[in-house]
Amino acid sequence: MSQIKIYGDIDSASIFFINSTVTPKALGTVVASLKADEDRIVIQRTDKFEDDGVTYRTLFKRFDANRVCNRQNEELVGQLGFTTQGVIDYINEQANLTGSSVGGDGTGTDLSALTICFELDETNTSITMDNGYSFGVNTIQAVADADGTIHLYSKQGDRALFTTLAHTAVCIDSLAVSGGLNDVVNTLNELFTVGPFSSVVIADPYATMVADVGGISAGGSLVGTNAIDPAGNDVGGSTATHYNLAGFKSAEVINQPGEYFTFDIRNEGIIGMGLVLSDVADVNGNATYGDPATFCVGGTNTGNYGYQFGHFFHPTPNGPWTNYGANAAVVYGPGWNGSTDFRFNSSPEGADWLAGSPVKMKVGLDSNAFIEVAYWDASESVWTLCARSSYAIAEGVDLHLGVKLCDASARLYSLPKAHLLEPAAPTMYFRHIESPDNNFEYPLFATVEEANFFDLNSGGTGTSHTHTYVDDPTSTTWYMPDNGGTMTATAVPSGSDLVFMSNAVTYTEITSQADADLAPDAFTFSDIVQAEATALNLQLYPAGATFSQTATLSPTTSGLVYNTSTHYLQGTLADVGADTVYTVTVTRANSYGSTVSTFTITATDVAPVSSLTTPWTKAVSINGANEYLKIVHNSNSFNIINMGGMNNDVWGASNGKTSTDTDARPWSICQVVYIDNSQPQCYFSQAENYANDRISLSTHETGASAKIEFYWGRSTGTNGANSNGVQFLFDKPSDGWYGYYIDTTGYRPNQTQVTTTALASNFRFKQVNLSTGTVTDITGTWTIVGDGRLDRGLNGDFYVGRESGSQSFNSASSLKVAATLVSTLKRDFLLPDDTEISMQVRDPQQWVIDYRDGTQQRLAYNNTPYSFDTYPERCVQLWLMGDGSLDSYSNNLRNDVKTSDQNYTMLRLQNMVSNDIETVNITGLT
Amino acid sequence: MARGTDFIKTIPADKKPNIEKHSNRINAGYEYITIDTMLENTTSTGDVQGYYSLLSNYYFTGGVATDMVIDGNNINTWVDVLLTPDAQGVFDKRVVSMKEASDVGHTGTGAAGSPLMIQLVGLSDHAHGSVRAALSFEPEVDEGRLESRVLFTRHSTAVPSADFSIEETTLNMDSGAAIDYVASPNIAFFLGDTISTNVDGEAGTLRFQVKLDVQGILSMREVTFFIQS
Repeated sequence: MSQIKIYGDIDSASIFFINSTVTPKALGTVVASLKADEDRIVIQRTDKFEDDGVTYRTLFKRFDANRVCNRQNEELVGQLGFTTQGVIDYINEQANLTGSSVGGDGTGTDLSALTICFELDETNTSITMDNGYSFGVNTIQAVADADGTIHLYSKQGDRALFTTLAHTAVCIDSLAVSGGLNDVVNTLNELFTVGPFSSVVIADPYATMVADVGGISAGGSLVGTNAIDPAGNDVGGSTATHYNLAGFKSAEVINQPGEYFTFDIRNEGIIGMGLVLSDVADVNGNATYGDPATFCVGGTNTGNYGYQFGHFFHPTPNGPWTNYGANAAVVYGPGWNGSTDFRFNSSPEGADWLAGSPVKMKVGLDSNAFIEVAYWDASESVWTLCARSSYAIAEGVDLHLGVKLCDASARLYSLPKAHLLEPAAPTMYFRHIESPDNNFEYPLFATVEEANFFDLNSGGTGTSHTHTYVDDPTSTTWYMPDNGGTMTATAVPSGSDLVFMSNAVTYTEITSQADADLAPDAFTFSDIVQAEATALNLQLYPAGATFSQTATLSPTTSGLVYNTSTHYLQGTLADVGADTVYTVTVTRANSYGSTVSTFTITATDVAPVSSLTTPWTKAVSINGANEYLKIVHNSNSFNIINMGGMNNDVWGASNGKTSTDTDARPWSICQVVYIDNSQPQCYFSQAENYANDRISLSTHETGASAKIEFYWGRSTGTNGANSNGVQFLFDKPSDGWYGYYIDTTGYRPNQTQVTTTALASNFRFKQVNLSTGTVTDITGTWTIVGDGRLDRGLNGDFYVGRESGSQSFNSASSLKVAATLVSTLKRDFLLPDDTEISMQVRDPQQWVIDYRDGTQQRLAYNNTPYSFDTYPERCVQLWLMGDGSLDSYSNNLRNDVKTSDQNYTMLRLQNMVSNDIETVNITGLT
Repeated sequence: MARGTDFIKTIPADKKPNIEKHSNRINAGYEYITIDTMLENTTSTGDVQGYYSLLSNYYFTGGVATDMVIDGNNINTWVDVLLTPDAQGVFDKRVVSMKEASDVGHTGTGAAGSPLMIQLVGLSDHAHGSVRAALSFEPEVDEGRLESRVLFTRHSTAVPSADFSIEETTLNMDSGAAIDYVASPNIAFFLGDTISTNVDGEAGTLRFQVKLDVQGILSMREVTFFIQS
């Protein structure tokens, strides 16, 4: 006959009768009841009536409970052990499901037959169960119920959602949850709240009671008027069907968790197996039923009498069937309604029982003092629980074995044995740990007594040693027996590891962290930004740490060094031309792994704070043929390089001094300019009109081999070539700001006196490093051009950006000049040394203070010294090119030694525009 | 045979019978005669129409129909109905030719394994008829369906020779289980040449069957074969 799947469905608000003619009905409109005259179910719909207008219309008139399956297609009776009333309850429950009740009636759905796997969804917002239900995180909670199972409740309202979930039947992310009931509850609650469920410390390990596996005779005798000792090997049987007229009661008692009776049964029949109290005062539940005096003495035909808790096998389901006793509250075991792998009625042992072969049974107190009835699975060598009481037996209560033989078929095959705890055996909590990953160590015990007992019974003398594990978050000291343990296993305990003194052992895992969790914490450090040249001393290693650490920098030019002894990163950040990022890679390692992290140090390129008196923030940009600077007066009294307009020859000097010649008018000039190799440039010129005399420093050349020319003499016509004079050529340096210095002893030879050697000894060309102030000679080549005379009179004007007073310079020229200093030198006086030259170039204002103020200096026209302070503008002309206190586009460029002078030594901005006075940042000066 | 109509066709054309209005007379060309007289003289009712009825005790003292349990073993398949004719419940009003061809109108007892099979022998391929059954059904499950059919066996030389049936959906039972649904299926047919009389004493047969998709109790009251030869 076909099976019919009946189940309610919240989503469609319907109850389904799959594989029947009845279409789905709305939830709440179907009711099932027991048929009055037979063990069948009547199912009616409550939303329609028969002709009388009162009677509900019948959907199923006499429904056979054996045909009912649940949504998972499990037969409620045949597979799950439901009674007819249970099926009725199930149908009514399914017919009244509500979204909030899950189970429908608020008592929760029984999960005793199931293994449930829980997971969080990918967003950690939902808890999913593999029986099809899901809940939001933080909305449900697991509770360890007094019946020894897990119950799930709604967090709000404590509504029962699911009940009787065995803690051994729980998995998370497809992995079985370790530990005892409370551990599994804790783990689930961590999962439900998105907590660290994998790190729940096991505090409720499995206990192993070391009982006498061999057992002793339990003694006892047959009880009841129907009881007989049948012919043959059977110990007990019954002459007729009755639930309380034939049985066997042991003389021996058990009274501690872990103690039990064993015996063999055979033949398909009605047989009860349970525990009988010694003292009626110890009854838990119905005292009439639990009274040991009523065991198998007849009376009412019920299995309840005499039992505290008894579990019965019956021919119809071929095994586990029902429970009787003073308190028959039960928790189903896998041997009753688990998967077919465990069920008695689908096991070889079940087949043996049907075939009349003996099957070994166990009745006793489990480690939690629940009464348990189990069968021995010979193929797996394990006891498989059929049923247990949902309550524990009180401490010290004595219990006999009671076997009820309820029909003529059932047989007790062997005399029962009692298995009492070994007197010296402590309760053993076997544990193992995985530390580090993939290395397993066991057995481990929390007490030395357990470890020593294990050792004593494993070939040792009762000794042990201790272990602590860095990945054990509890840092517990564990005890390992000196014999029988392993510290190098590659897997969890298995096979013979799971048997101790012939007792089955269940190991509990010691929660340990993964190796990845034990690798050193990654170094964390905020990125650093510091100015170049900053001294750093960074501690990269925590005090007391034990891991190893290295640090590298990239690029390696930071100026910092990692000290592998002190673990400091030390040094001074290098000067940089632009902001530069250095990456520091810190690697930490220990035996569990390594972590790598980085941070950056950015060295910023900052202008140093200048110690110079001269500001150096401005420069004048001179571009094109017509832009230039020109002194406002061409008087020989104010144009120092005119040398008084004299046309006499002057001997030179070779003693480091200026010339002693009375006609000598020695001078010096220095400038800070921007050399641009792509442009023609005229740095200065003291020039008459074209074709006449000039002293100039300029370049018409561009590119890699360009030269700068110092020329004193004449040229031929407009833009003509140099004709009569002397030339000093030197290499034009690469682009950048430069400071140079030129002086002369006053030497002015005629055509017969001039030699390049004399020129070389009477002129000095110096370059000053703008950052360091270092002075170096500029090397070049002197050339005598034409007659080579330098004794012609020179009466022109001082220019910057123009070579000749009457003709424009190269239209492509471009020059930035930040300062120009022209100074008279006294006759027969020591030429400036490098210190003075350096200052003259890098800090001309300070040079005026240090070397000119309050001194006697030669006036431009004269050959004798005079008070500098009286006529400073005639001795020194310092143009700061915008940095002067009165410099401006409208004021033009004032001589810094006399800024009020507008008529003689001021430089006029010729054909220039206001933004030709630019802001500059000159490395080494600004 | 249909002698009455043959007789009318033999009246000469110039002597067409005139039927006097409001009279029960026909002028056959020679004299007026009554129609009854004419029919009496020319044909017999029993020659052209009849029925064969098998009634259960439902219609007699006691009033009990023949019950049949439809259980898990015989749902969703065609089953021969159980019908125990009452001792007074066989009405053999077959046409003369059928009676002349066979003394008995059916075979079988109506018990399990012995279905009632009505014989068609004596009927030519001009004949037609219908089978009506009276029944009730109390389903155990709501929303079931009852179908009926007449299953024919063919005569010995028929081609094709396989049985055939004429079916109908009789009941859609969606007013609940555990109540009686009554029905009188009536299936008409003609005597095709594979079931009509083949040779003397040999023709097809018919029997009534039902099919249910729910379990319940089928109560058969009668099966009647209405005959028009």
